[in-house]
Amino acid sequence: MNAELGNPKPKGGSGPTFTTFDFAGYDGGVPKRLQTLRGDQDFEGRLGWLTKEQEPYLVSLIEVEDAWPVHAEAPPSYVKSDDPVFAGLLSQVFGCPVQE
Amino acid sequence: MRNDHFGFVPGTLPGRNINYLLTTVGVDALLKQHLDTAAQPAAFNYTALTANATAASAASTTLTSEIATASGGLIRKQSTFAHTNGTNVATLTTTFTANGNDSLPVTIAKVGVFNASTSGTLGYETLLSSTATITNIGDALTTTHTITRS
Repeated sequence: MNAELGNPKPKGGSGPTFTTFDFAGYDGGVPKRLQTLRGDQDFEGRLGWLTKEQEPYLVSLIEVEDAWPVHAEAPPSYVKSDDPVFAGLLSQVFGCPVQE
Repeated sequence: MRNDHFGFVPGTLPGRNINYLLTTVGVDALLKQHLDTAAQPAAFNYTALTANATAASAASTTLTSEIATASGGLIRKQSTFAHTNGTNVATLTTTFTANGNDSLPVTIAKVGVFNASTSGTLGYETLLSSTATITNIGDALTTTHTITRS
């Protein structure tokens, strides 16, 4: 699974560009509790709207959320993915359109 | 790992300072990947955890006391690679979920990045500025390792 996010304000870059993600380790596992090294543990509160069928994407969504501030100083301008369900979820999380 | 990043995503917290270290054998492999016409080393795309808290060293070739419990959820795992075109930054993000085979609780203190799922070359070694404790089966930890070309 992979994704591309429009990056309107990249860190260390001069103008709009894009950030690519390669989820080589994706296994669809759904943890009971999840923490990041930033101390973020409130995923149930923020992503509790995921349906049972969407839960296998939870970890990938968190990984994008966790890495995005390293790459950008503003929210993504668009998302796209080879997995249309994941693209739709990224769109909801970041509040930006899906680009075909 | 993350350095002075302040998340704008609702619910996230300011980042912690974590210094990563490129090992000597990692430098060798990177140069061969980039310039050598002979068979090139594999990509550094596997992240491993340890409770060992000694300082990271450029001379390291293994991750001391790497968690390697058979069929455990905290063993070395392939990472999510991300790169922003036109910048010198890349990230490796990995989520580990403890299972019934892991010895818990465990406090993660250091992270290593290898170029194979077992054995391989240790490219980066990172001592966490603050540890993360995994207590129960089903607990997960997401690490984001930032690599900046300088």
